[in-house]
Amino acid sequence: MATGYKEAFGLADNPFGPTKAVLGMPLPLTANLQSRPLLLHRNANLNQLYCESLSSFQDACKELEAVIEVDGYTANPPDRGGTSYMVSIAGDRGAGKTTLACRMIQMMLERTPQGAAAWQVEELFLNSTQQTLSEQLDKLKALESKVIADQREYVCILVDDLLAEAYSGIATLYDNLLSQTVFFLVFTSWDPKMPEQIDKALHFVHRFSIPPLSPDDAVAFVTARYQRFRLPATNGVAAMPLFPFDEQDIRTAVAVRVISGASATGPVSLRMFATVLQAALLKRLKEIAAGNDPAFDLAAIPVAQLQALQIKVAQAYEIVVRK
Amino acid sequence: MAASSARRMSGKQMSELIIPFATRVLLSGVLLLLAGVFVWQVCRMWFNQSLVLAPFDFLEAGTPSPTSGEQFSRMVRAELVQLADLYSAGVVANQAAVPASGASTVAPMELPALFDVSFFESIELKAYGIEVGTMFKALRRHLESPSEITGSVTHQGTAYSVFAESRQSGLGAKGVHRWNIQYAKDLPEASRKFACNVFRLLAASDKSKHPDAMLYRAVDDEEFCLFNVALAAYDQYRQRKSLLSDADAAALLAQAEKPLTSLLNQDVVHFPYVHKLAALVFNEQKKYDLAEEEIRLHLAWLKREKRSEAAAQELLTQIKAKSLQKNPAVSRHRPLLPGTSVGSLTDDKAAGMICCFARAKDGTRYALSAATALGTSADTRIVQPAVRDGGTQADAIGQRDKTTDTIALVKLDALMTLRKDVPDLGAIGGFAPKLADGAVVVAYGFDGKRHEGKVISSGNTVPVNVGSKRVDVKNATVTSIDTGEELGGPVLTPDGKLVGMIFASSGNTTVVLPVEQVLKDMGLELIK
Repeated sequence: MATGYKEAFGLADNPFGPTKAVLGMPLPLTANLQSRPLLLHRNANLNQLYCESLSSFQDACKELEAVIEVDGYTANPPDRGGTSYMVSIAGDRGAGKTTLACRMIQMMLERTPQGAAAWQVEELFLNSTQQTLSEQLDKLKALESKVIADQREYVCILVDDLLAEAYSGIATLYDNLLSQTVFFLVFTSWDPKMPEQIDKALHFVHRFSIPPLSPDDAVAFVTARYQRFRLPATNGVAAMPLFPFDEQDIRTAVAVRVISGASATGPVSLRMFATVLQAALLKRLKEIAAGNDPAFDLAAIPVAQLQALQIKVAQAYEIVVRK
Repeated sequence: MAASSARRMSGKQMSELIIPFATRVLLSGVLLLLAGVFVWQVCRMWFNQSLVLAPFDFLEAGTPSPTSGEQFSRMVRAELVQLADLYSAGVVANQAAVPASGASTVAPMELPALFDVSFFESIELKAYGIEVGTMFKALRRHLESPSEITGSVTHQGTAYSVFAESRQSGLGAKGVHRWNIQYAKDLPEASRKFACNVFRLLAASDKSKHPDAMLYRAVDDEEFCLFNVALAAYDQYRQRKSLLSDADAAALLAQAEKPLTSLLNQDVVHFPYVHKLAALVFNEQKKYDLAEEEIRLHLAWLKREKRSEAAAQELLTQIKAKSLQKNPAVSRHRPLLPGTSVGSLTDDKAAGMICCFARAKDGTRYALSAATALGTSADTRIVQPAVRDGGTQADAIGQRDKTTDTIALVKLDALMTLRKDVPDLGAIGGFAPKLADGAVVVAYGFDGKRHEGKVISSGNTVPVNVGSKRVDVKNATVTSIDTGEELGGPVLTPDGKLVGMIFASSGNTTVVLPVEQVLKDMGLELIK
């Protein structure tokens, strides 16, 4: 039997990019998860992969909750008011903007009174690196037409990866929908000029921003994923909860901002971090397979030897002697 | 009256006594002087070696010009004296000078000394006209049998030609030597060429009893003159190097190189000192491969002749060392500069860079570098450049002093001079404040190039593997400077503030160790 994540690491699957269906969810929802957002509003089971303790996510959700609760959007009992919202989420690429936007939509969906009509959810995934301004504006116009044509009472709209110059399209969408429906419009943008565009307009926008991953966030993210994927073991793995990774090493990597295996240096994003960890596990698995040791089983390895099997993600610095 | 008669008698006796005595003393003195002159003349008759340069006949476009002929003789004499000076050139130490420790000088040619230089100072010029003194001199010359050189100079069109002969009385045809110089473009060239020929004749003489007399006999006049042109240019460069601009220095070296190249391009080099002079010139021109080749040829000749020459051997060592020093980062610098190669004399693998200089309260000066760059032995001598860059005992700058896990201090020798300029980056002007992420930083690489990067993070503790040991670098700045091997090298902001020293590397990122606190803890102050 080939060595798998269970034998190699004591994990049910790759926590950062599961290879199999998770909790019976459709595979497309979790495929290539290391580089894709969690579309939480589509399937509640995805919550098990969501890390609520990431400080930026936690703070943003709390703040939004406080705003909507005041406006009558309550979770307990589920109820909803009549206020429409425009929410912006800023942050670097891969920071988790779309995941947070999905979590916010999920929060609105949870506030549907029993027996009431469900929220209509509209998703517009744009691509700021490949699309022109007019293309993005055209798509926003089409979205507006669709929402107006559908004539639903409550609508959640996700617009992802907006160009700063396309903010006028979002503002028009917001203005035109106000008289048609109650809506929750959330858009994301990594464009550094977006705050300037928002400032120029007179619309009230709830603004959120996701900073680079902090060492605490990184550890919380890995811990959250491991809670779902870690298999009980009798050996010392329990004493090394992040095995094959090391908490201190993760903290150093994120603080120093140089991660072994990452293609770039600088502020660490959630996507970059997840991609590095997913690749590191896969690489080690391949190494074990290449070692032709079909009997390799982490459970049989004494605890004293586990440290030697750790994967370091912080760049290893050495004194380099001239050759 | 009786009294006055007695006074007269007494005065007469006095004058009778004093005048004859004074006369005898005076005559004795004159006779002794004459005796001395005669003895001296007898000595000169047997041992005198004076060379007499008669005024040359000078034809200016067919018209005789006695004044020009006299002038030509004077020019030849001056050239001979200058040549003699060149061949006895050495470094005369200025006793009052305070030399900087390790200051470098340009090596003199150090040809084996030929003659007593005073001989050339005694070259006599024969005057025109008939005078008693001249007649006496001429008679004396016949008695003393000096060598006399006579000849003529013809200026026709743009060319000068010289015909001359030297004749030694009493030796008949054997004592006659003739020269014919054609197509000299001006009088200085004609006189220089002629002086060269006379000089070679004298050097080749059996009387010179010089070990190289055979060489001077074998060499062609033309080759010897070319060699002297190169030697004169190099000597000018050697003596005035510190005052010359780079362009002027290069021009003088090129002036020396040109005749040497002509000589080296010949099938056979008859005068072996050509190789040594070429090595010296190429060495100064930083053409180390050529310099090494030439000094090896000179050493091979010395070996064949069963001679040894410490200066040549030393020159080879110096050339080999310099050939490694291909850019300022790995070259020898006095005054010392930060951002240049440094290492342990005893551990040739230990090499890094000088980060900066610091001073203790008692005035002791230190160079700062990374601990591993200066070897592991305490009290070892430290050299700049490092041994791997050609550093030798002569390049020692001080003693390895205090060390920590990360840094090491070199206690600089008292007379060592230093500057705070990092090559290509400029002077270190104090410490940088905490830099924001993305701030630009610069370093100077062992490749002699400026390396620019950005701050990736700062203020973190970064673990570094030092052999089998792990050292935690606190408050480190991690940058995207991709140097790597410049252990101990300074990292600056673009405006010259010191961020710290390069301590470790990985991929294209570098860990920079802040040194401000380290110096403070050691009671040292940055020299800025």
